[in-house]
Formats: sequence, structure tokens, C-alpha cells
Amino acid sequence: MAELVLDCITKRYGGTAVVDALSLSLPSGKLLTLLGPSGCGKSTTLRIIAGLTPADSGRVHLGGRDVTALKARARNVGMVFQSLALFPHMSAADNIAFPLRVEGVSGRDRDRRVGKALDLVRMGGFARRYPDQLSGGQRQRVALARAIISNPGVLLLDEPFSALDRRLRDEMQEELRSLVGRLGITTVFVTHDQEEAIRLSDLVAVMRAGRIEQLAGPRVVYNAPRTPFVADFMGSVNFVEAEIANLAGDQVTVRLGQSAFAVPRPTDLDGAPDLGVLINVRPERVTLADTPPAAGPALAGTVTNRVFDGAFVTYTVRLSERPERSWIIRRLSSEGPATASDAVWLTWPADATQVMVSHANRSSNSR
Amino acid sequence: MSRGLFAWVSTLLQVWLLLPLAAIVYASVATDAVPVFPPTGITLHWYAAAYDVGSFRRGLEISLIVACLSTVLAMPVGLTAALALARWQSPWRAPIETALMAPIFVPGLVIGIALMMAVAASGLDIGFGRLILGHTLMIFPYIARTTYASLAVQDASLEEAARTMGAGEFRIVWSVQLPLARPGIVAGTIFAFIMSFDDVPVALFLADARTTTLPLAVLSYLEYNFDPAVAAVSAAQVIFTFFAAVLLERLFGLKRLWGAGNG
Repeated sequence: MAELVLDCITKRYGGTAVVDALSLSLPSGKLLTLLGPSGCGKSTTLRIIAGLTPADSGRVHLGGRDVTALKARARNVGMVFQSLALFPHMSAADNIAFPLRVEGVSGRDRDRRVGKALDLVRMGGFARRYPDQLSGGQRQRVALARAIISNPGVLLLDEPFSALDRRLRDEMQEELRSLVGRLGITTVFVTHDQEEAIRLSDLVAVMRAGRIEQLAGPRVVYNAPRTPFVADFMGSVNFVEAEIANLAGDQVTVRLGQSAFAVPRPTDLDGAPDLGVLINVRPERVTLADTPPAAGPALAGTVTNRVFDGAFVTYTVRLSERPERSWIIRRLSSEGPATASDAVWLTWPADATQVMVSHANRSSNSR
Repeated sequence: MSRGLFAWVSTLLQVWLLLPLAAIVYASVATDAVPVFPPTGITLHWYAAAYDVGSFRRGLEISLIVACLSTVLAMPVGLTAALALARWQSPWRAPIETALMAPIFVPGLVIGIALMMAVAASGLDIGFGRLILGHTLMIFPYIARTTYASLAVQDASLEEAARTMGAGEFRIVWSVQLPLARPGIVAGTIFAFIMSFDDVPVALFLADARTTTLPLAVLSYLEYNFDPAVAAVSAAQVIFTFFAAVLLERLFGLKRLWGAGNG
């Protein structure tokens, strides 16, 4: 059952649609990430779900109930703000108890639930500490406990980990993941960090200019981006123009220079043969060779840069056919030097090819 | 002007400003009835003498009562004004904020005369009450301003967080906003109390024979007497105000009393 449904939500600020006819449906107990660059409308969408910002049009359903007209205080959501918004004049325990006080949960029952919530986020020994006496990670945990203590229908998080250093962030992601999994809370998480989105989510919605570009599981968004924007945002920067030679059933034959190869047909791809498309290959799927492969996709190029960064060597290769495009190739450094000379052939498994319609308005800042 | 010169000039100016205060404290502890230098001796005799002046004792009593009651009355007015300013998105906000500065730039005499005429026009004979009401009106903006300055710098997400936790407006104000504004509220209250306690011009027009405040008692005493007892009273006030100012600075920073709501 869908716990959260957004139906054609639009929000404008002075003529610009910050959220543009956005619809989505999130099954109960799943964790959805709204992922996108700043200004893509992800935080506004979250605020609309919380009821802190009214939508201009569209409906919000929580737990099967239309809550569009309800104010934030009546929606039963738990929210963790970017600033965490812990009350500085209250101890950790009092912060966590606040929603219960509002509900009118009394003395002993309240203490018991606060104690349980503190244990849940492993903060049992810190009940009496004030926010300014807690470390960054401890504050995160208190904010999280406060957001879930009154069993909200959805948990909303607005880039809560962006201020943490990398190690702490990894730790908190892990903890959030397991906490949400154990409690089975439907969760919406806003971030601009694609790695964070992939690690945390059951579903990722990549947003751009108030719309969802792609909504899918993290593996799909990562390995099979549907638009150049999504590919680029997921760090898959290798694009080149190609043509559709043949569309047959669920296969599509792509012609790229001298080579032609068949790949599974994306559901949103139709139209005539000779259609111009853009293909995209993830940097880690490409291999370098001195000679052209016998079959399969191939491109000639020149290595213009090599960067050794520990586990990987990153090559920059300028394409011979299209010198305005350079590809990034990441190979394990343990493989040793890939080629003898700078003139190389790029090749990859045909099924690593993503085929996208190259609408002018979709062409992104491919490198 | 070079930096060094500027420092010198400003130091000199500050000494110049503080000199009369030092002179008063000096006169109050010197044995001599007419200040001479060096003093013949050091004594607290004049403080005792001041305490023996009946009008001073009565004036102190009245000043304390007036200052306490008008501060108590000014508090709810100031707090609600500050909350309205902080929470109310309206084009009227800026003009009202400026109007709350009025007691700072309108001369006390003008306020005194205006209040006297208003009370006279109303035809109410409320005796003691009119001085208290006048002072309430004069001092509530100080509480409003410091409280507003504290509210204005609060993180808006605190309010929103409370809202998502089901809190209504009253609870947000009572449990989140006001407790966090406490330094501003306390500072404004202390300042308001001092303004009432020290006031001459407004009291001059609103007081009568039964409600002669300490500053007024000092003024009328000076008409017929000139002895260090007056200096002792003044020195006591200076010392009291000084410690109140230290407390204020500790709690809030005096600068924020004057700044716009950006403190």
C-alpha cells in the first residue's frame, strides 16, 4: 500500500515553478531519496509533504488520507531539519520528550518511551546533556529520536548529514538505514550527494527543475540512467552520438562508427531507424586496448591524461571521431598499464550501453 | 585623523564624561561640607545624613514602588509587542518597529507634557496610578526592543520543528520562543526598571505632592540646601546603575539595546 502519494504538486515562486506537476507514490516502509542539485525543488517538495509550505496545486496523501488541507501540526510527520533544530534550552531527553508533551502523554509513560528512544539511537547515557554539550553525531541521533518518537506516518529528512565529516556521515547513513529498516518507517530523504542516495535508498528520484527525471531503484538509476542529466549526475560522464540501425521487439541495434551492436531496448525508446541517439557508458565498464576488438562496441581515441589515485587509475581519452568529447575511464590500478601507447581503442560489453534519445532540451553538459 | 590620535581623543572624551560622576562619589565620601582638595578626611557620614532626610527616604520608597509596578505592567505589553513584531509578516512592521524607538529619541519633557495633557483630558483622577501608567508607557519599548532582538535572531527552523511535532502557536511561543529570548527579556526588564527609577522629566509632570520620587526629592532638596548628602544619594544611584549596567552587559550586551533587530 502506498503510504505517501504526491499527485501533480506544483509550487511557484514569482512565476518560476520550483516544483512542477510532480507526482510520486511511495510504498509503505520504503526509503525514497529526492536527489538533485541545489534549486531542483527537492527541499520544497519535502516541505510540502510536511505541510510547512503550501502547494499551489496538487494533493498530498499520507497513509491513504488526503492531508492537503491539514496544517503541519496535524499531519503526524517526523522531520529532521538540515540545522537539526534541536531546542538549545532543553536537554536531549526533553527534546525527545517534546512531541509526547504536546500529545499529552504523561509522566511515567513518557519517561519510558523517551528512554526507549534514547536506547534506540544508542544515546542512553546522554539524556541530561544539552545540545551544545553533544558532538555532531550525537546531535544527529537526538534529532532522529525526536523525529520518530511519536510513531510518525512518514519520516522526512532534509540533508541532515551534509555538515558531518565523511567518516561520521558514513556511520550515520548506516545507522539511519538500519533504524528505518527495523522500525519500518516510510522515509523521504533529501540530498544532493548521489553516493549517499545510492547507499541509503530503496528508491531514488533524481530531480531537475522541479520535475522527476527518473524514479527507480538505486542500481537502476546508477547503471541504467534514462536521461543524460541523470547519467551525468550519477557520475557517468561518457557520452557519444550514435544512430539506431534497427528496432526489433525488445532489442535495439546501435550503429557507432564502424561498429554495430544490439542492446536491450529501453521502454521509452521508440521511433524510426536512423534516429539520432546519445549513448552513455559508465567509466568503470570501459576497457582500453591497443587494437580494435573483433566485435562489439569500439571507439578510437587518444589518452590525454592519467591520474593514479590509489585503487584506481583514471584515464582521460579524447575521441578521434569527435574530438570535442572526452571520455573518463576508471581501471583498477592493479591491472597495470592498459596500453603501450597513447593511441587506444575503447571497448565495453554491449549490455553496458545506455541508449538515450538526444532531445535538444535533454542534452546535458556532457564532457 | 590617525588611529592613535583617535584613540587619545576618545579616551579624553570618556574621562571628560565620567569626571562628574567621579566628582560626586568624591564629594560624598569627603568629610568637608564644601568640596575641597585634598579632603580633610574620608567618611560615610553624608550617607547617614542623606538617610535622615525624610523626603529622600519617602522618595526612595515611592521610586521603588513606581519602578516595580510599572516594570511589572510594562512586561506583558513589551513581550506581546515583541512577539507581534517577530511573528507578524506585514508592511506595518517596519513603521511600528520605528515607533517603538520613540522613547529613545523623543525628549522626556515632551513625553511628560503629552502624558500630563492626556491624563488631564481624560478627566481621570487616578493619583498614584497616573505616574505608574506614564512610566509603563515610557519603558515598555525597552522590553519590546530587546525581546524582539532576541526573537529575530532565533533559527526559524526551531519554530517549524515544533510545528511538525504537533505544537500549536501558544506552545511554540511559551515553550520555545520565549525561553530562548530570556536574556533579551531580562536585559530589557532591568533597563526598563532603571529608566523608571532614574526618570525626572516625565515624573516632573505626572507626580504630585504624594508621589514625589527620589530624583524629584533630590531636585527640590537642592533648591534650599547644598551639602554632600545630595552627593551621597547621587553616588548611591550611580553605583546602583553601574552594577545594573554590568549585569546587563553580561546578560545581553548593551549594544543590542540600540541596534535594530539584528543584534
